Amino acid sequence: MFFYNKRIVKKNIGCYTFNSDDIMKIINTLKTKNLASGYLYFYVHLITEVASFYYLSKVTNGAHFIWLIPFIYDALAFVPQGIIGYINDKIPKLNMGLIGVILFMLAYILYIIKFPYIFLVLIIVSLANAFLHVSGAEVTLRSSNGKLSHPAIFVGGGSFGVIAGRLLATTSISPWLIVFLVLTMIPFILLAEGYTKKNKTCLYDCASKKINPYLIIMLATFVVIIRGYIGYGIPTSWNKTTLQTVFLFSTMGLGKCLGGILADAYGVKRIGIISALLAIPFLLFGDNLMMVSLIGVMFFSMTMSITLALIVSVLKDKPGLAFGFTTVGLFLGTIPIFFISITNKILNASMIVVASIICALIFNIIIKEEKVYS
Amino acid sequence: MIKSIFNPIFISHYSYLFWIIIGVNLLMILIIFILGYKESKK
Repeated sequence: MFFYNKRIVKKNIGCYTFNSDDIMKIINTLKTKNLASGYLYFYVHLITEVASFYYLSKVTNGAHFIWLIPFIYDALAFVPQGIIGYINDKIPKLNMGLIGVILFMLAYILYIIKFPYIFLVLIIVSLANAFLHVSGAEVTLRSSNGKLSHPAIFVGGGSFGVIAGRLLATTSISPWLIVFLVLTMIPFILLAEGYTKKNKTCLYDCASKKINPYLIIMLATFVVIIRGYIGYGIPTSWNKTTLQTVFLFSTMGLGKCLGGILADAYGVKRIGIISALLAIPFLLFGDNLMMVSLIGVMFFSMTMSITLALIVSVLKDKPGLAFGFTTVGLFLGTIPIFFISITNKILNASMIVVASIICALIFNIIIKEEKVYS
Repeated sequence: MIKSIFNPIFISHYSYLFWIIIGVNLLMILIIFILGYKESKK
């Protein structure tokens, strides 16, 4: 009830005073017009990852070429998104979401009939994933009126889908259930397409005007690359059970959503820098403490939508291409994990600290000053 | 400190596929960066 009677409820969080106005501010952000596109694509993204990771987990189970399958998946699900996005920017009438659903259907039918060329099916699954991601980016970025919450909520759905897909693959459920889930995406895609009012140009404007626009794209992509790599090096010795893995992925998803919501409420620059720096102590000292580590993971995940918003601020009428830069960054960031493994804990911790400080410094340079909250 | 986990055996049977994927990806990344450069000038 205290939300509505405006009685100030204060609780100290560090040097900042958190009060009921803050809660109202966050609730108002969640009520933003057209946020429906974010919620609809949250589901679409979730099912996309369920379908992708169910298949990946099934085919990597016991396969002797296990190394190659995730590599091909990463390469063909992440990198083509820039090209597919650019085509969608040029031809907006193409419904990439429905193309993705058709590709998933084709892949699963081939999987069910035990088609012998699993790499061909893997390529189709990866491309289906790419098409659906581009569709989500186009719809949420164009309908967001410059708000980060929409793409953040869309992006956040993926983490829940990854763990759900992996868990479903450990059960003996029929793959037809996944086919059914893929089909349930169709009304969500059509609803998001018809219900939301899409702008021709994205209204994001958080990039500094003092820096060369292409340099902003490069630096934001660089942040995605180093965050993508560090994401695999987060010390999580506590993660031993399935339930703990569910908590880990759910926190990642929650962090991605919160990043956009808080950036809308308190400012992109403030949230970008704070989340990059605050993640450090929690990640370093949370190796054996689940709750501490999860707080770090949440802060760590919050920068996802901020880097996207920065690139879209430069490529305002090419949101599909802009989204492609973030996925290329993720791919480049994950390449090293296929080739090298850092075994020294001190080196790993040092890398997390240095990378996070570099990210915060880059955000400080490329995000423009804003007066959102006083 | 840093350990190599790359095992060429994994790709020995599929080396053609591995290198095709690498080649196609590099090409796509190049195209994306060029498109980004062109579009950022507008």
